[in-house]
Amino acid sequence: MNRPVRVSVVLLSLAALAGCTSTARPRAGSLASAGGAATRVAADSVREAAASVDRYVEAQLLLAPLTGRPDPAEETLATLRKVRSVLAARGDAMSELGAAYAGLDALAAFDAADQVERGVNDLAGAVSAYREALGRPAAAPVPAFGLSKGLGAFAGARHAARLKKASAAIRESLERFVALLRTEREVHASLRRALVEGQGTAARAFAALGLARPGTLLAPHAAAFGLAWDEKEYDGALALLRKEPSITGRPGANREDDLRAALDRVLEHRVARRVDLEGALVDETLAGLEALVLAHRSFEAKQETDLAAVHGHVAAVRALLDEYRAAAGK
Amino acid sequence: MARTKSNHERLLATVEATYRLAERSFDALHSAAKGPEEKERVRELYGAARDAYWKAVLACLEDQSGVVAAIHDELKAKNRELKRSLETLRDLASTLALLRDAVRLAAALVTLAAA
Repeated sequence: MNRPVRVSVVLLSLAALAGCTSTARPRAGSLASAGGAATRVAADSVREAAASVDRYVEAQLLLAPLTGRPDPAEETLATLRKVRSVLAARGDAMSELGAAYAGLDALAAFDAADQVERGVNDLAGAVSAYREALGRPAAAPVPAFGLSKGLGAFAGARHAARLKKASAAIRESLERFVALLRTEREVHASLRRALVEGQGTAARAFAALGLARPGTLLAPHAAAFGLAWDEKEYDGALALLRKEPSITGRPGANREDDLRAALDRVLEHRVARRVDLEGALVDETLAGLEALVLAHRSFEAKQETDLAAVHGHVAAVRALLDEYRAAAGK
Repeated sequence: MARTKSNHERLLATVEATYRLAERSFDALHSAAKGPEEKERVRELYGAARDAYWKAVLACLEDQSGVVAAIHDELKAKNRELKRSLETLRDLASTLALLRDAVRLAAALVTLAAA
C-alpha cells in the first residue's frame, strides 16, 4: 500500500524538479539577453560622453585663438582628465556587466560555469574601481564568486540553483553600480550638458568663419522633398549670394551673411536639443538598469521574469541615442 | 521615480548656470567690448566662470553653513539679473559688472562649499 504512494511522491518530486529547471533555463536566458541589451545601450551612452571630454578640450583649445576665449587653466585641464577617467571607469563597469550577462547566458544554455564566474568577479572588480575613481571610500571587499558543483542532488535542480546564485551575484554588483550612478546622476547630466555646450560653441565658430561646409545639414531638407543636394554647386551659389545685399537691410551685409546667420540658428537649436537630451539619456539609462535589478529579484524569488520594463527603457535609450546622433548630424 | 536633489547638485546647477550664461554671451560681449582692456576683462570673467564650474564638478559641495546658503541665494538672484541684462545688452558696463559679481560669487561658493 505504501510503496505506490512513495513511488508517486518520488515521481512528483522529480517532475517538480524537472519543471523547476525547465522554466529556470529559458528565463535565465531571457534575463541574460535583456541584461546584455540594456548594458549595450548604456555603454553606448557612456562612450558618447567619454569621447565628448576630449572633443571639449580640443574645442576649448581651438576656440581660444579663433574667438578670443582664454585657454583653459591647467587646473581645469586636470579636472577634465579626472572626469575622463571617471567616465572610463564607468564604461569599464558597463563592459564587465555585459560580459557577466554573456556568462549567465552560457550558464543557462550549457551549464558552463567558468564564463559566468569570471564575469561576476570581473564585474565586482570594475564596480569597485568605478567607486574608487569617484573618490569614494573603499567598500568592503566582495568575496570571490564561484559556483559549487554540489548545489542540489539532481542535475536539473542543481542547474536551476546555479542560475539563481549567478543571478544574485550579478544583481548585487548591479545594485552597487546603480547606487553609485544614482548619486552621480545630476553631476553626470550637468557635465554632459557643459561638454555639449562647449563643442557646440566650437562648431558655431567654425561655421561663422566659413570653415565648415553645411552640406550634410542642408541635404536632408532638400532630400525630404525629392531634391538632390549638389555640393559642387555650393561655392558658385555662395559667390552669387555674396553679391546680393542682405535681406535684413543691414549695411555691408550680404546674402552669404544671411545664410551663415540661418545656419547659426540651426546649430544653436541643435545644441539646445542635445543639451536637453543629455538629462533624458542619463535618466533612461539609470531607469533601465533599475528595472533590470527588479527583474533579477523576480527571477531569484519566483523564477519569473517580466522584462517589459527593461525592454521599454532599452528602446527609449536607443531612440534617444538616435535622436542625439541626428542632432549631431551623425 | 522622483529624486530629490542633494546639496551638491543644487549648488552645481547654479554654478553651471553662471558658466552657461558666460559661454553663450561671450561672443556678443567680446565684440561689444571697447578696447583691449574691456575685451581682456570679458576673457578673464569667462575663464573664471569656466574654471569655477569644472572645479565644482569634482568637488563635494555642501551648504551646511549659513554663509554658503546666503551666497547660493545671492548667486541665483545674480544669474537671473544677468540673464535679463544679456537679453538686451543695452548697457555693457552694467552687464559686465553683473557677470563679474556672478563669477565672484560662483568662485566663492565653490571654495567655501567644498571646504
